[in-house]
Amino acid sequence: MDNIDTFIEKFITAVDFQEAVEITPDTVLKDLPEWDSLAALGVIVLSDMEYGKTITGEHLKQVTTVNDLYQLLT
Amino acid sequence: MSVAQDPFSLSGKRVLVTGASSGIGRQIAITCSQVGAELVISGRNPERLQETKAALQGEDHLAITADLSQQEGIDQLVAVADTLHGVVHAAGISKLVPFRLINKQHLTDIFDSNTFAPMLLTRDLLVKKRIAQNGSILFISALASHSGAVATGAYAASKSALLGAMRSLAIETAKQGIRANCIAPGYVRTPMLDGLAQGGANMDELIARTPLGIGEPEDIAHAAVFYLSDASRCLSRHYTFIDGGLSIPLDIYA
Repeated sequence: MDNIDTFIEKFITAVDFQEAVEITPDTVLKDLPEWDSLAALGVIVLSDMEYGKTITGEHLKQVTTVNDLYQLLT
Repeated sequence: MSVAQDPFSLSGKRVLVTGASSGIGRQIAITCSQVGAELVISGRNPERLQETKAALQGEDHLAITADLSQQEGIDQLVAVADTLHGVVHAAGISKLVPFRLINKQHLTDIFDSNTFAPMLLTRDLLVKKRIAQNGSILFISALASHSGAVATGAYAASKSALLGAMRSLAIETAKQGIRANCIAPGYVRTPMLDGLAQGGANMDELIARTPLGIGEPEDIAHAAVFYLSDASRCLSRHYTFIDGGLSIPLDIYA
């Protein structure tokens, strides 16, 4: 099982930030300047491919922080 | 007009439709039966395939549960296919994956179902002489083959590949009078579209960009009847977009 640091690395790859941004477990997804539909899709695919878990946009709407997302996926 | 005079009738024709357990394939099978065809239908899900069979008009239809991404599935279908006057390759899968997350497994899954299965099934049907003279082979590509929507890298590539395969095939089979064509649908109200919505696609935006509205499976099925019937007997190596006008503002040949 990935620890939170490994998860954050994969999250950064999936979202493909153009401007480097510091991500901590407490980062609020909606506050990220590049959090858009393609970023959300990247996370949906990451969940499926890396963690074997099918999530939808609805699941993502219920998630606030990066740590929430980590808990959902792992 | 009697059925015999109707150039769009499929009376007396035996038509194989893959992917008939849901969506576009299911509706093509039903519509073909309504205009007189005898159907051979295949799909992966036995229950839903039987539901399609029950919805077909007329008797003597055949339903074969088979996974065409495996050679055994193709063998199974070819063994019972008998003489076919039409083949519709409607089986296919789709999944939105941003390009930077594409991996080998994703490419293999998409190409096995969308590209290799229809090509290999066609090959085996031709080798076993299952397709009658003047028969019609129809592939279901996608608007994505030209539009290349976001996160459809593998899907769009697999559907573009079908267009290339169709062009070459049509030349090779012309001497037997066998035609090969392609329909490239835009967004159509099917379980696959529901899957895209679940997978993160923005449906409201898609609907807003489609002036004639999201297509229904019947819209694709009616075009399939045209390509299968004698009405299109002079048409081969051809494809058409059916996309509710979605591509009107796009330079899709770019």
